[in-house]
Amino acid sequence: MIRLENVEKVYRTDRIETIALSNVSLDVAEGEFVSIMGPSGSGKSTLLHVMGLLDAPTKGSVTLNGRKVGSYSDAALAKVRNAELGFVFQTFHLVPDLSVLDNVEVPLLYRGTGAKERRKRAEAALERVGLSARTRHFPSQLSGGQQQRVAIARAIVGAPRILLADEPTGNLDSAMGDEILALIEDLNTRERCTVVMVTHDERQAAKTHRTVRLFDGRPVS
Amino acid sequence: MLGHTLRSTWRVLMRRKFFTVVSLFGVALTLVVLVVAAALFDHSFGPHPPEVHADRSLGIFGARLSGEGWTTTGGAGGRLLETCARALPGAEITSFYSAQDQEVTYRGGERVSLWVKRTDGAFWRALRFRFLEGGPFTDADDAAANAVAVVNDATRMRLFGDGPGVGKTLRLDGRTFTIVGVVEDVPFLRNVPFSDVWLPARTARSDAESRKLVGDMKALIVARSREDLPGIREEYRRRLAAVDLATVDAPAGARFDRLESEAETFLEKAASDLFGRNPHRAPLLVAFLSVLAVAFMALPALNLVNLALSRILERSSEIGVRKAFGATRGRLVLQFVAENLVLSLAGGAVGLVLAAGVLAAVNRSGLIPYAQLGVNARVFLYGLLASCVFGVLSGALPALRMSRLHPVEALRGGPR
Repeated sequence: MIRLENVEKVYRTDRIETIALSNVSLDVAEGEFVSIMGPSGSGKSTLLHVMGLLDAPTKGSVTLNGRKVGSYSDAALAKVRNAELGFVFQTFHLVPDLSVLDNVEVPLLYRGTGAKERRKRAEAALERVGLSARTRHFPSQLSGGQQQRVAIARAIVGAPRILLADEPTGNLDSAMGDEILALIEDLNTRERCTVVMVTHDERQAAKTHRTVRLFDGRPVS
Repeated sequence: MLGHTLRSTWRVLMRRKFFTVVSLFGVALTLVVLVVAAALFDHSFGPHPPEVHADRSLGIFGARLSGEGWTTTGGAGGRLLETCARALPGAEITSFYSAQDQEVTYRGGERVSLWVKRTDGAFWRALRFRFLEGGPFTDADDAAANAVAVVNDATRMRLFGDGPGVGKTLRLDGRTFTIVGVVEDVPFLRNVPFSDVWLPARTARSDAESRKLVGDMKALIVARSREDLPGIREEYRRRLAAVDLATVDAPAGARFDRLESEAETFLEKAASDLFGRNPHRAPLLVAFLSVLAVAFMALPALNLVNLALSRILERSSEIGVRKAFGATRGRLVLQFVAENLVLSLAGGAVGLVLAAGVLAAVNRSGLIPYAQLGVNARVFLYGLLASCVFGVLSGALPALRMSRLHPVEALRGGPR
């Protein structure tokens, strides 16, 4: 489903060269639930960004569903992200000026779905995460846990085959974090959605199929 | 998509009310100046009554006679018009009229200065004046040099107060004229029809004008259709070239060998002052005024660029999210330009209302005699167009810049 081969990511400024990822090779199979762990600065988020086609590797290749995406244009990458990937971020990244329903509709806007269909699917996604009573609210009127549920609804509204979650419970208390993780687990088991999740929490990592550990940008066993 | 963009725009603008008000004020103020300029332009060149046939009209506004050591420039002379402009093929109506002159009459011992234009009966067919009383004088009146006059409503008021004007008399140039018609005031800026008093051309004291090639007359030619305009111009040129200059009285020692005159549209006439006899002067004038308008908009637009940029910068995380979920650069640019367009159109609406107030004030002030400036459909469209240009001008740059943000950088909070 996702294959990374000898991926290297180097950030260069005028004076400093920072190696974020070094020689990372990784296969994620369809339906798998993989967690990525490691200390701060070990390259976890960078790895997730590379897998999510938000960042390009300096060296190496990324293959998504059998297609090497290294030569894809920005527009082509946007299309792949829209159709096949869903993102959940630690800080939710909901658009504050949009209602809950409008936030969830965002991915569908970019695939030309009609307004009625968008609404129907967004309402279904919100129902899936247990927030159908809050469609007209704005993000600032919701708790952290509710905001993350909206973010998950947004991530799954387009029925992506892969969900990439960057510390989705990092900003939540443990009870709320467990609820969110249960929701993600449910998506993985019931809907066969492949999940890659960055986490600092060993307890949560233990619930995934396997854990990839990073240290200084390299996988360690 | 549109509904989504409008809802988002509304929230964004309401979130920073101060910025929004400053932006609206900037757009509205710029638009006021542009709409007033557009209204003046429309007032001067638009197809308003009495110039209802402006789109198929040509004027002969001047002539130039030159030779070794001598040049005479002025209006067209009576001889020139009779020889070259009478009954041109394709012309439906041809009228000759004088440049308006200021003449004096007295009312109860008080000196009253009036603009006077001399013309023929065709003038009233070529132009559609609104008669408040009576009617125009005729070709027969002109041929017989009858002492009749048409006056505008303002002159009727000045001379006779609230009473009717028709049947009253008016003394001008040593003769007493009987008023046969009163017309609605025509604005000063509409040079062809404007005057306070219109008299038959042959009531002039001297007939010297009829012997001149360069004089004080002008011609108004209404073609049967727009398609006839090139033919009329060409025939006028041909007749002009055939004029025998040897018979023209020249000052001692001088000999004229060149006669220049042109049948031109009202817009071309206005453009001649800037671009001379350039054959493309009318489109050049429109282009020049458009560039001027854009240049005038550029400075406030730059201010708005900064405001728009800071507004968009706050939303870098939104840009990151939208990119993550499949927005292309083009879609983001469209979104931000559309937001700015909404702001500009709202500013434009405020600007139009303010401009209508300014124009009404100009009308009342008497700064431009008999001005009837206002926001009509054409001026409204100019304003709308200016608002759109303004919106795109001030929105495109920040939108382009922000759409280039790397998605990861945008998610982290924007460029550092």
